[in-house]
Amino acid sequence: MTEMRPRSFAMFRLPSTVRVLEWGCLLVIGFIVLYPLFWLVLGSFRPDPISTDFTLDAYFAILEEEYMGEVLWNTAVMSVGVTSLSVLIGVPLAWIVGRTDTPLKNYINMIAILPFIMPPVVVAVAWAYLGTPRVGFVNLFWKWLVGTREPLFDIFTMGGLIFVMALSLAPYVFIFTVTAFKNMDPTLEYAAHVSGASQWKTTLRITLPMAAPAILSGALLTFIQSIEVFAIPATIGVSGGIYVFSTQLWRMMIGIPPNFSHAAALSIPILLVCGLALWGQTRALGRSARYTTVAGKSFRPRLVELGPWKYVSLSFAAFYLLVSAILPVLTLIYGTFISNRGRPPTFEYLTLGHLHEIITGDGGAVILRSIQNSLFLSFMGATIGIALSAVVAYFVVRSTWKGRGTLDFLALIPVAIPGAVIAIAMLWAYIREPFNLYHTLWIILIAYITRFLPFGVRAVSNSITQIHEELERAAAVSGANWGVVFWKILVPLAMPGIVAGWIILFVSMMRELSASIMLFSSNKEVISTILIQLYDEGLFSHVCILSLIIVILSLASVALVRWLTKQTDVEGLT
Amino acid sequence: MQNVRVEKLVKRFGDVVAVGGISFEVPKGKLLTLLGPSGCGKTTTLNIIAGFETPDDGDVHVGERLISSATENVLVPAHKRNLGMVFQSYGLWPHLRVRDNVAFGLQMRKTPKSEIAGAVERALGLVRLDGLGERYPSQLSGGQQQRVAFARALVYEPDVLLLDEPLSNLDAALREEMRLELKDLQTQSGITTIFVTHDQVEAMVMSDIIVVMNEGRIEQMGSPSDVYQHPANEFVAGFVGISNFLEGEVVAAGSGGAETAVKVGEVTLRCKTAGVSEGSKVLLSIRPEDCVASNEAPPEGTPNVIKCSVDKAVYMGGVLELWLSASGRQIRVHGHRLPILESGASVYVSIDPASISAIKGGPS
Repeated sequence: MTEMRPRSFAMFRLPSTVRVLEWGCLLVIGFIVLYPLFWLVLGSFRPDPISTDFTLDAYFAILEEEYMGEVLWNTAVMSVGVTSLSVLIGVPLAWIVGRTDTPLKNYINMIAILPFIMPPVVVAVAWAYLGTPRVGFVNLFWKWLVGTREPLFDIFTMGGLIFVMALSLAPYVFIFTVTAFKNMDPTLEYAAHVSGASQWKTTLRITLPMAAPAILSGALLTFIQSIEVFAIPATIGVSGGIYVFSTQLWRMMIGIPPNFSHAAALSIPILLVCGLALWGQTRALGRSARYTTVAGKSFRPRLVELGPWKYVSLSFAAFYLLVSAILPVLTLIYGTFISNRGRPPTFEYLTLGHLHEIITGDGGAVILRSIQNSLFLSFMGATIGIALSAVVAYFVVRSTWKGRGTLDFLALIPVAIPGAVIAIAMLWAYIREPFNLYHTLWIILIAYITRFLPFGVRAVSNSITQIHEELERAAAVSGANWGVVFWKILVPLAMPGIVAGWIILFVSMMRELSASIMLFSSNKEVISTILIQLYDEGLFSHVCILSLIIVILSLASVALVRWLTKQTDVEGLT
Repeated sequence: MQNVRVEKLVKRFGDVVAVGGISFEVPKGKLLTLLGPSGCGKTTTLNIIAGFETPDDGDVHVGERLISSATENVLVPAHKRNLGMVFQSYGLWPHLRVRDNVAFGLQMRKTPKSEIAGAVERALGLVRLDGLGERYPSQLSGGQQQRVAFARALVYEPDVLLLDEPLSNLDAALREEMRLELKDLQTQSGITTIFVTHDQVEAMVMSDIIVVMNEGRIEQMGSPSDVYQHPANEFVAGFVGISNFLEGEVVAAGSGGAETAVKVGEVTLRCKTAGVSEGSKVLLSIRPEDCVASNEAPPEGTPNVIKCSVDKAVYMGGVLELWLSASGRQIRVHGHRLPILESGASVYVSIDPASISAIKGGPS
């Protein structure tokens, strides 16, 4: 889209500092993205981080590991399973919201912001408590309802892992698909009707095929995410003895001594798979835009009247929201305020003791320190990250400079790098001279900035794209030079988008786990790593309190972002 | 091929009456145009016939088949009406090749595969797109896409063809070419056609019958020449072409071939309108191109000569558009082969009595 827009740089005689800035920006982004990747590749050919030998040993070694076949198989089954289930959940939900007269659609549409409110780590711990065979709440309820001693299901299985991951990732399929459904020209369906196609055939032959690239695009992103996400395999998977790629990497890194080379060697093929998926995803997205955009024409999509079936569709959506958000949050609230796990949720057992314990108790100090660390990292990371993103976005959207395509591409790369892989690359790159950042907060900070750069860039470039070129032209015609147009016109107009982007980065960093888990050290814990630690120690109420804090923080941020974006009508920030 | 009968069709959107009880008939094989400004109800009418909107009242017959009736509670769904339609934005399916776009309707009719290929080839040949079947719509020009849309609508030989402003997305030159081509196509295939447009020239060129609509009502129905030369009222005269309106009083009613005399201010104009009574008020409609302007007085005996002064003269290439005034009234005249006139100059305008239409009842 941005390629078709006029570029304001064409009308200015630019000061030479702008060219310097463009080059500087390219170098900085190139460095933070490519330098760690370079070390990751190099590291996979070295026996350890200190040696300078070149060897293929690490590759042979991981191939010979007896568990490797199982890990790859598990990863493949999980990724394919999660992607398929997410499509089966996400596409019908998108159709319900985008193209039917199902009641309460606007509330169902909240699914789009669910990943932002309910991070995987929260869904994971909540479902671990909901789905344990013996004492999980859902199983207890089932036993009571049916009067059996047999649990309904065991969450600590491959099926359970896929189920919880799909709950958490289906919104990605939903977001892409619902956009396509809403932007489809209704004429195309009218044309099918007139040609003799019934409602059902039209949906099957016209509507769905036209949404196919969008569905594919969402599915590929879900696929990348399913390899990326650490929290769910680390809780539900590990408890059930199921190791996948991300947890295997972690196992390599927490071994004594940590095996840097094997981790690097294992990262390379996964990186290639994710890169390929991202390439496919961008292509699919481009195709989708060609299918669903009608230039200069506004229309409302045609809604299918479901009749009595609308209660079926409403129930489907309600059930999804129940299991993906409502039950998990209720579990967290229960764990926070009820004195003992297993007690009925009545006033008798209501307590503030757990909260008190966290603030004053022995473990409390560690928790508070982790919150402090997270706040510091997220604040710094979001600020530096959004500043970088803003400069990148500005050049990508508005500059006529040849390097802007490269810049755009570089800033997109981290999407395809799983957090665990970024962490390993960071370790290879920054534990050595001239950086020496091993066991510091700084290495986590750089990892955060690198990981979330694409999200920051997208938030700001969306906002700049919305600022009509004519506003800048009008200023230039009135006699303003590039600098004045930039500071007096562009920056004030883009500010809400920039602030919204800052909040998105801040919240994403507050709950980052897959990279943090590899990079944290004693005294340098963050909220999410503490959460996993507490989960492993079985501290039910502490886990619930910390998770609830994350949910509340996320909700507040969503509200703030929504309010901000309403000020400028910036779309697609989540 | 079938005729179409629309009877007392009504459609309301909330309090707004979009279609206010209109009736018309399209004879077999003819092209009828619904012409009117935006919001006049023409598109709603077409959508009701197509089956996209549910009427509040009235019947629609295609041949002997009742496809929509509010009183008898009949509402044949769009896909069972056997109609063809071409849309303003073409509505070509972007994910299907041209060939598959055209074949779609036949597939829906369960036509054997062996026949579909041939039928699609013939349809593409008819619209002169032979050999482009393997392309995607996005690889075609606007005019070619338009033709694919026609091939797609005609290939299964529907009873009626519906055209929803199909030319309005084309640029001016192509639009003119396509008008004629479309008309040829329609005449050749002999398909009963309903055409919706707001472009009066398009309507003139293509139609057998024009239905002029305004605010959900039919203002006039007739052949293109009828509607142009004998507009039924001020709206039609103003919407279809440009017209000068002059209020006057009948001083001598014509009957048996005699001309009617109407006094407009100080001038008396003769016209051929019959059936008006002496003393009644009428509104005269005179087309600018029916006025002959010259800078010399026409010979004695020329009817309807008015001496005017030039307010404004606009050179438009072949035509000089003159804004004239005579005794306080303004008229527009298209002058041919005149020197460029300064404002303030005098000209003589003469009007053939046959080209003055008196709109009965005078100004509304």
